[in-house]
Amino acid sequence: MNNVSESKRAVALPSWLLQGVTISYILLVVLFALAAAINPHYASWDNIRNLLQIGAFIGVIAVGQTLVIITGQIDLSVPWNLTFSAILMATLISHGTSTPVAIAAALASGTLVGMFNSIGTAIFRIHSLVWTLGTNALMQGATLVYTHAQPPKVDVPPFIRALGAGNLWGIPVPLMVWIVAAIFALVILHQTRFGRYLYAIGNNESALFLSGVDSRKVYLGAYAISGFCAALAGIMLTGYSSQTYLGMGSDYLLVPVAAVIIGGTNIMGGSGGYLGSISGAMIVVLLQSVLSTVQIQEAGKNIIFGSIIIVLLLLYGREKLSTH
Amino acid sequence: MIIERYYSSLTAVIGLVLLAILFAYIQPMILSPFGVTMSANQGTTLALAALAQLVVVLTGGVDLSVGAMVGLTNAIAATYMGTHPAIATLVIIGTLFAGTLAGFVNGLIVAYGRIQPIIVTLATLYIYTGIGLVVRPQPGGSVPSGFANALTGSWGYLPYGLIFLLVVVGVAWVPLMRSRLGRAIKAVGDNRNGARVSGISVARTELWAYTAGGFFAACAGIFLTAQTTSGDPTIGTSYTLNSVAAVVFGGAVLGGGRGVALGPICGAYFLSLLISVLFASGVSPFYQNLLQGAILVIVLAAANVWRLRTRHWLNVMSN
Repeated sequence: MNNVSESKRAVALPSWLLQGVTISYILLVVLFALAAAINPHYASWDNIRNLLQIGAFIGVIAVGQTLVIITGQIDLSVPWNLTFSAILMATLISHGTSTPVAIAAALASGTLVGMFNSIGTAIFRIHSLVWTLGTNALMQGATLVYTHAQPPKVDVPPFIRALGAGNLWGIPVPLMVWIVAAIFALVILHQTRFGRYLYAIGNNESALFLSGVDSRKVYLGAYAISGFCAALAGIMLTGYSSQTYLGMGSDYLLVPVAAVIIGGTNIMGGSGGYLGSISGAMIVVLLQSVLSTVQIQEAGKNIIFGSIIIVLLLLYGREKLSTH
Repeated sequence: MIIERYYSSLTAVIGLVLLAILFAYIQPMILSPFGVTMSANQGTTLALAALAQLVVVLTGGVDLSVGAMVGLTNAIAATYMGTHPAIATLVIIGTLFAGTLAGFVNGLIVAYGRIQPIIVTLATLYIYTGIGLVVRPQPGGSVPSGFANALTGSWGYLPYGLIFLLVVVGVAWVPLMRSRLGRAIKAVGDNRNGARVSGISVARTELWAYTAGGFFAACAGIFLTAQTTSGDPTIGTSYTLNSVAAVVFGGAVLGGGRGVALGPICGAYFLSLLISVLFASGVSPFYQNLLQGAILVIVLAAANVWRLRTRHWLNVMSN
């Protein structure tokens, strides 16, 4: 099917140029150039560092989200999974638990929630859109019960603060965390058997199953990583804002998904990769940043943000016309 | 045969009946005309939103902008309605038109832009919420009391809200589903290529399905306006997810092709009644979110176990 539509193209462009990943990087450069042309401050190292720092939060979440979306599923439990993990950590610290143990507990909690997501999607075969939203509601409830809607007031330890806002040799620590996470994602996706299984599930789960792979375990791995990433982002955000609060995850329901899709990963699964998600995350952050500096109302920002996503997708996110 | 047709709705219908009995047992006062009306009114907005979701789900898509369209139409209705009946009527028609137009735009981008519905409606969710905020930056507004009473009052035990829902179903849903378009919608959701080779225009079918979704969302927005007598563009947020939950709980298949209105409507009333039941049984508000989420998750899992039992694992996978 692909071959047919490729050969029908009137102008033969090299195939790598038509890939979502390439286009998303070109777009990122163009958008950045535009922003810098309007306001030279954008090209300053201070601003770039700031963008990368904020991009790190979305980028880390996008690691898990990319893996899950490649399998053809989605993880919409990030906001409250992230919030619960962060608040769990903060509460433990306020009770005198040592920082490493508290961080480990937060990561474990996030991973467990991720595994719970895979129970519904892989074993009960409930559409992940619905199930992970259910998990999100569940974690919202758990957070409210756990905190009685009063997140703990806690002195965030220096190590966690460094994770979210620190600088090492002039480079933001969150960016370093993101780089490590990105390398992890790229290795997983392209160098491991597990990574190949992720793509295989997205393309044809039945075929993978018939070749003797228990696809449920693959889902388990993808969702566990996604939960882990959400918790990690929660820890970094706690450090970034030096506190935990109930709404800290609310920006991370759909924005990471948008980043992954803008990066050229097919929402139906089977193709794409983390390289695109990196530029997707930066495009989203750049858009949000530009929109927050121009003096328009919240309403206008919503409209512009939504419109730009649609325009980007019209540019390169279109499905091929079915030829049969 | 008729039982077979509505078989998928069985979980939601039984769930709703059991929950209603439980509610009446915990809080006998609910069996008064006032109690029945209040319970019905709380669920009607979600039931209409579920119809908006269902028509899109039947094509194999999903509409994440349902809540935004409900909020947008709610904001428009409450802002411009004023007090004069003639103007109010015009505004209601205009609101229905606005919702339909929003759905039309969704359909246009999905069908002719050939972008995945989930990401299109995610983007339009932002756009419609933004437009709603332009119309009404702060919650507020007013509606004629006659309008509110006409939709939320009751005649003895019979709530007008239920009549409104039945009218929408009778005048819009049933004719739509019985029409050529309705059959095309199910055909496209069931098997896109099959529909295409049998001469159905997939793109046009999708376009009108999303447009119909916008219309039903506008109906939900209008009822919500009567219920809250004010406008708030962000009030609709919860309707997106709950409408998907109601549709799935009501037996429709995400992926398209299968589903009747009865299940999602009962599913919607079930979900909204659940909140009242938790409230009436004196559960601390902190636990209400948790219980609501837990019940939703358990119900979904239980409803699906039945499906899994009766099928081969490979069949389950291809869905």
